[in-house]
Amino acid sequence: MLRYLKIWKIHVRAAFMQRMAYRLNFFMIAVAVIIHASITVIFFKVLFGYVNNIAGWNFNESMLIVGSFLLVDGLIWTTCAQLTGIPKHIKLGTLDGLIVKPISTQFLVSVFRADPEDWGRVATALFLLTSSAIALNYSLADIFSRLPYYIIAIACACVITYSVVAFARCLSFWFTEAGGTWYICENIIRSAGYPTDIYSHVLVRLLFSTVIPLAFMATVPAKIFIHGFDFWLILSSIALAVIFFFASRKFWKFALKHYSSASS
Amino acid sequence: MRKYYIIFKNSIQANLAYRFNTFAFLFAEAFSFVIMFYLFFSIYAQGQKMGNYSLTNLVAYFALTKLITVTLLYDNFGFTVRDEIMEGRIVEYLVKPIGYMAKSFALKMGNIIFRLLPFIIIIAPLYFFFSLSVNLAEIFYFSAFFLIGSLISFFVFYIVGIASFFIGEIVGFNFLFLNIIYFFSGGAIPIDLFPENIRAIINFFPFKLIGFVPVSIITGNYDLSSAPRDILSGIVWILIFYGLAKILFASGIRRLEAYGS
Repeated sequence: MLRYLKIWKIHVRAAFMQRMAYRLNFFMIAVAVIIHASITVIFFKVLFGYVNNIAGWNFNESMLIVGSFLLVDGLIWTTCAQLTGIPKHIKLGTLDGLIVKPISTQFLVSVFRADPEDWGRVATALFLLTSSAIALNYSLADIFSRLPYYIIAIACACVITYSVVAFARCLSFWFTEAGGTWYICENIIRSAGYPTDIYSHVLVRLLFSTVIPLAFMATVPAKIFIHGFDFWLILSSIALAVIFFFASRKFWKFALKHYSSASS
Repeated sequence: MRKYYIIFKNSIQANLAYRFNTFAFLFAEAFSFVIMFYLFFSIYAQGQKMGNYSLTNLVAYFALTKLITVTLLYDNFGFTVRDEIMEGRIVEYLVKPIGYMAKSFALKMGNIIFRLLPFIIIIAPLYFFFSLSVNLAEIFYFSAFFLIGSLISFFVFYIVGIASFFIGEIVGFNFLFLNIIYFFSGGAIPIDLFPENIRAIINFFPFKLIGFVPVSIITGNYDLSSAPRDILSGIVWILIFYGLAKILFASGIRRLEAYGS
């Protein structure tokens, strides 16, 4: 485990140095990331200029969902950059070199890229969560009693999001020029930023709670932040995270069998 | 002219070769559109309302804006220009009897036309589903604004691409402009729903001509008497972008150091 942590740290440092080679570019991306995050907040701000609630969620509660979504999205970008390593290595044929290394190939492609500028997204998320908690008049005692459960829910959300992204990215094994999987990942994750209570049809709600578990990517953590410990929500989050992670591992191994090297 | 037509044709063929990306993109956008639909459906089902928009109007607005922004903005065109500059391939065009800007425009038009096909396939049923009705004048103005939007999008991302002459990597610039244009074109939310002060800032820039104006023509929320003024302002902005692109390109070429055979 320590070895994996060390390798991840080396990749994070390398990614940072790579970004620093073009400092202005790094600064511009950092600004763009914050603007990108702010657009979602502005969207809700304008929406709530006309409505009182969205499927029972008021503005500050909705901001807890947006904050949770930005936190998960930010953590995914800062740790594994939405697995951009998978299509890139397959396209260039450099996966060959990784397969023979005495470490999990899935881990290596996952940590291939980590985007330091996305800490701006994480910071925006933390600011949003804090300001929403203040606006909702939560006491410090309230916040600290709910925090451990919220952290568990966010950790599960990260694992679920990672797994969903891994599923989409593995399509690159069949469609070599599959940079387009990024659009799929991005839109699925972005869709988690809305309360899943908006889905009035039972089947759609079931779909977004199980097959594509948008509910567990942001709405459930926000619910735990608001209502505190909920045994069934925590249990479902953990169960889904475990199921999705192992399913994505299985799919990765299955997809890897279809890898045909593009290098000489 | 024929040489640019060949580049235009090649651009469509290149898009066809990587059609998985295009279909992945369309699937992803359709997915996010369904989510938007549920969001507004849930708001209107509670008896709430967004400004003067009916649910049908708002959903039609988002469907059409999405289709236009997908067609005009999300083709990574700036990166094509960047790659040619950073890899030194731009030199090939400097020694050939071919204008780099015109060649890039032909490439961009190829991207747009390729994406227009699904656009038309999707827009036809929407026309009947949302009971939209447009007259000849509206079709004319919609086409005019679509052309103006294409030119603005081309020049902005061309300028973003040639910024590589000066700063090297332009991922940040590209992402920044993409966000700004998406927001200012009314992609995130219809511009007339913003408060007055924000609307004044947005109206100063030409990006509303990419999404908000043409879509509002189709949904019937645009006063056609403003069209000549908006077209004129679009042309002025295009000329400004054209001049800027020319100056930046000439200045960039002077700084270019490309090696190789």
